[in-house]
Amino acid sequence: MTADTTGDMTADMAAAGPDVPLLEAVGLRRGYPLPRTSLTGRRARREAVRDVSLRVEEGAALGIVGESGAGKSTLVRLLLALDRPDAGTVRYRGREVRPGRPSSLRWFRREAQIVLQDPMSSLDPRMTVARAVAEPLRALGVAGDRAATAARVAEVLTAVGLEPEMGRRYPHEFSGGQRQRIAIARALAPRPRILVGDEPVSALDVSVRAQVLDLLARLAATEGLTLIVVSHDLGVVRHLCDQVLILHEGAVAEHGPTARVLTDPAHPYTRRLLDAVPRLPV
Amino acid sequence: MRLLEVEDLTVRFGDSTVVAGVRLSLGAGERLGLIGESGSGKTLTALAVAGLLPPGAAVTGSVRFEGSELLGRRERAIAPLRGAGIGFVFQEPLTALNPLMRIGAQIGEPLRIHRGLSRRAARGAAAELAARVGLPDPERIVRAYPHQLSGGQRQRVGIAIAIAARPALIVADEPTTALDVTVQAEILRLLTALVEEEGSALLFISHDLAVVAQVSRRLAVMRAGRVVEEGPTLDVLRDPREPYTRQLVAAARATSWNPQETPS
Repeated sequence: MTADTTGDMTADMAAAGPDVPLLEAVGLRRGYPLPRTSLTGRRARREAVRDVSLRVEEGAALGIVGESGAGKSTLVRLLLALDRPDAGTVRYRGREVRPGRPSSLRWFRREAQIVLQDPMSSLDPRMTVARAVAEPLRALGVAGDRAATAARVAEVLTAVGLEPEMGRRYPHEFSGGQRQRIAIARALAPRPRILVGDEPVSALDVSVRAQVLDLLARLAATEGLTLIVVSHDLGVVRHLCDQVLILHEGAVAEHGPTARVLTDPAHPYTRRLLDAVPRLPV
Repeated sequence: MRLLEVEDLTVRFGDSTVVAGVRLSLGAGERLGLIGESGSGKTLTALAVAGLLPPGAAVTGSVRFEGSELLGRRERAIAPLRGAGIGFVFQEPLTALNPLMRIGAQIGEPLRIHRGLSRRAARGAAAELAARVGLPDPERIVRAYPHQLSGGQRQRVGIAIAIAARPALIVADEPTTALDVTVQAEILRLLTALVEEEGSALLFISHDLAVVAQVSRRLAVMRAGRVVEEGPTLDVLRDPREPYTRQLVAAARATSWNPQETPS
């Protein structure tokens, strides 16, 4: 257990004023060297994220939208301290989040969890669902005794619309939509305050997609979660998020209330993106 | 005589039936959208039409193209049709293109095979086709290799190959699913414009109703290997008869919107 870090955080939170956002990024930059194109020349760099700042208030739902190569995934990795920025900082309730040893970040992992695009590759095929859902509890030192773990697993499985008994089965026995529910249950287990979805419904069939989006919206409301949803699909963001950030070539093209950005876009790129969305003719 | 008539098409792999008695028909110059979710059998139906089913697939029923039966024909008898009669656009242009062959040679290949053009003439025609599908600097791009192109450019190459020998039917299987939304819009515009100019028929396969609705005037909805509903696109969207179609339309509406409409 890491009582020390928890103590730290409470102290920081007390120090934080009322206008300190839940999550804040200031001036994030991250570049990667490109593969060599000649034996002697210098390796070129690609600036994947260039000077991104953002604020996420507690209880808000932020959508991060961009096309491939816009820097969405790099930005998420930086926000979750899974990658080190070249410059800039990320703060959670005013406390700096720095990538480092897992033990030094455990406090933050309890606060922020992620659901990935493809539940088949994020769930271990050899682990029962109950074990997979219990894993973050153990890893983050919030498991308690066996009975408490089992109770929490049953609770989150129920919360995502699955039967607790389903925990005895293996991932391959479930449909794509059910597997994504399992991944959501697993992310919810340690009672995070922030849930990040990285293209959470992109791998799902259309009819299942709406159900999983509704589930995320409902959980955000009932659990008081703050959502960050990364998507290439404006429809998904419109469905879930009250704030939207449009990323273009690693920089913020536009950031504001979803209703405003989607109806009255200020940036030409946002306009181009909106015009390109296929719409039903009737 | 219709251009394409598919009757009672059934595809089995061992004990599992993945396409179960599909019936479709397409007249010259018509555009039909085939929509379904993963596992509905839409891609296998498309592959069966082009005689491209993987080994191990047991096929029964009938696929008639320009009046002649394709099922049960030897590969040697079907090959001349592919490209010349039926052009195919694949979902993932990077895997559909040959990584070791220059773009120009790939676009020119159907012309050499089906139209008997010389290597030189095919190269010239390839540059013209590259220009027609909106590739920048066609003279230079025909000398490039697939990995040097962006995803959208590769799909333009895929379309150029499909239309090269001026087939009467183009089958496009999820041609924009791997692309970004702004690129998707360009490719859809290009595909519909070319089909219009060439007067070819189009069989367009997708999981995305809004995309299908943009390119096809008729819609066939597939589920679990069957066509459960078919009709003019607007009718199906306005007044879906089957509960499954209603569910698909509702789901598509939930994540689609009109620009005038305020978001909920």
